[in-house]
Amino acid sequence: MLLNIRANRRLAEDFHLLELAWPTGMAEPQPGQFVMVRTREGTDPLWRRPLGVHDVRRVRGAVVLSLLFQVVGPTTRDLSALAAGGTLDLLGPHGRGFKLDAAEQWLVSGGRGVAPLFYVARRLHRAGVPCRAFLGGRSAGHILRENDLGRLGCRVEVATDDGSRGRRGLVTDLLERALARLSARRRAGVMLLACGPHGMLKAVAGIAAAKEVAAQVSVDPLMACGRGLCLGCTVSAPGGYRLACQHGPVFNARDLDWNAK
Amino acid sequence: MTPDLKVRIGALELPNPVLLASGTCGYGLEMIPHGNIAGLGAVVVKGLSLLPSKGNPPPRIVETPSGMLNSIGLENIGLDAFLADKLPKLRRIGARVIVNFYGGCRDDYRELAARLDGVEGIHALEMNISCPNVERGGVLIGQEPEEVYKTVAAVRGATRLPLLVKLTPNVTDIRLTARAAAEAGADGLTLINTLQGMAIDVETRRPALARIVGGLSGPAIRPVAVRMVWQVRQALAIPIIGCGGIWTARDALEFLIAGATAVQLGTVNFTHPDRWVDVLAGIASYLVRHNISITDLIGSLER
Repeated sequence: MLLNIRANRRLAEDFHLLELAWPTGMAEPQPGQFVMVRTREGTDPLWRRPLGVHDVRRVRGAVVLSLLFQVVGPTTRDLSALAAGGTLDLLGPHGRGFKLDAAEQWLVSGGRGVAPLFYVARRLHRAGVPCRAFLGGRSAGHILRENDLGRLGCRVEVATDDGSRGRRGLVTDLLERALARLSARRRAGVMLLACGPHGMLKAVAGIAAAKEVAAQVSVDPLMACGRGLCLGCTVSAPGGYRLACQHGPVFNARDLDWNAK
Repeated sequence: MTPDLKVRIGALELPNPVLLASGTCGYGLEMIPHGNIAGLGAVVVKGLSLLPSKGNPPPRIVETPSGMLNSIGLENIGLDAFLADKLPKLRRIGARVIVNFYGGCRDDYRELAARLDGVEGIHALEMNISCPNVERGGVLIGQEPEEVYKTVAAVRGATRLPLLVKLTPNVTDIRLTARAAAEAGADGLTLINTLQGMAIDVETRRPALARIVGGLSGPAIRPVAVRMVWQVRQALAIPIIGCGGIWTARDALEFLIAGATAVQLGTVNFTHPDRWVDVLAGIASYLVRHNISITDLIGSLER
């Protein structure tokens, strides 16, 4: 389907925020779901690209879908050049998103991994559920939506590889320290929701297991179709494989095999 | 006026020549949100084995210029689950169903064919003797004319359903395996399965696919597929279903003109799940514009 573009702006460095008018009458995307977009006619690139739903909000009665992306290839380069008034070819929403049923949710992101977590924060804000956010990135320019998450009631902590924003080091170090300060009873009410590079997700899964905290992770393998047709986007799980597009992209961290090659 | 699009492949009569290829449309049901699948010539469901198969380790896919490599490894829910959970829904919708199947040995093929024979709601079988991504059976059987003959003959003896044989392009002369399948009693040939290929991440020097080599599909292979359809058409009278990189109605027409009686849309379904509707409409309007029947169009290459 073709969605009308309402706005497109650069957030920082090569990160952009695209706002689209969600068709009236269509079920709204849920936090953690994704859409498949394409920007070109022809067969290069061949596949659509999956993008996590960054935000869904109502503006004067209309539903607005936001997509946050980093320019990494031809499709995202095209996306960054789209202007308000144009359209974008999009399929979705697809996949199973985050379950938001814990007493307290902690968001953990690496770089553009903040994309699907922002919509989680908005939902939690609406529901009045406590939320903390741990944002990690290479440098200050890779820390996105920090102030907006604060406005949504999140307590935000930041770590960067080079120390140009927040603490120098890994976001998972911040997470570990914060968990260590909690009583076991309070930890039992915490759910970690993570999105970022594989190494970061693996570290979050390890911390969650060690501290006995529940965790959900959003994974991002290569996807051709996004709808369970190609069976290409498998991730390893104990005893077999799971499809990121259908069974995920959000999984309970303990349901995946983090030691698979 | 909509022209008559009916085609016939042996005893299999189809209302139109546009099919969805095995492995690109799930069990057919996954395509329902994108169009009325009863309007297709037929849907060829994901290759079934006797027992469920979990497929190959990831990564299984990678994008290539106008194409993609896959090494799915024929992951499927198995024959019993298909018959119990999927087929009844396909019947209710009124879709014409062609069941693609594969075995590890000749006995597997024979048993699958026997168990599918006479099942209500199955219109034809398509034998996969050409998968490049499994260790046993598959492409090994499909590359040797003598093995092709024996395996197809075994299946032919086990079913009265129209029988299609999907051939591998990974041979020196496709006409030899095509002839073997035809002589063993196939009603039609599906040409072609994927071409073997490989891609490497040069930064890590690792193969893009966990199994290193996979099957190439998409528009990149279309000229090879059209050539093979034409070659087999020249050599044999058996009906051919053309398959390989069809992206538009124009591409489908290429196969029909080269000699295919019908076509299968595959990789395009991933990007454009409703493209078959446009391809069907495009073929119909071409027939009107050129004032030619579908029968006269098939194999009408001018030389």
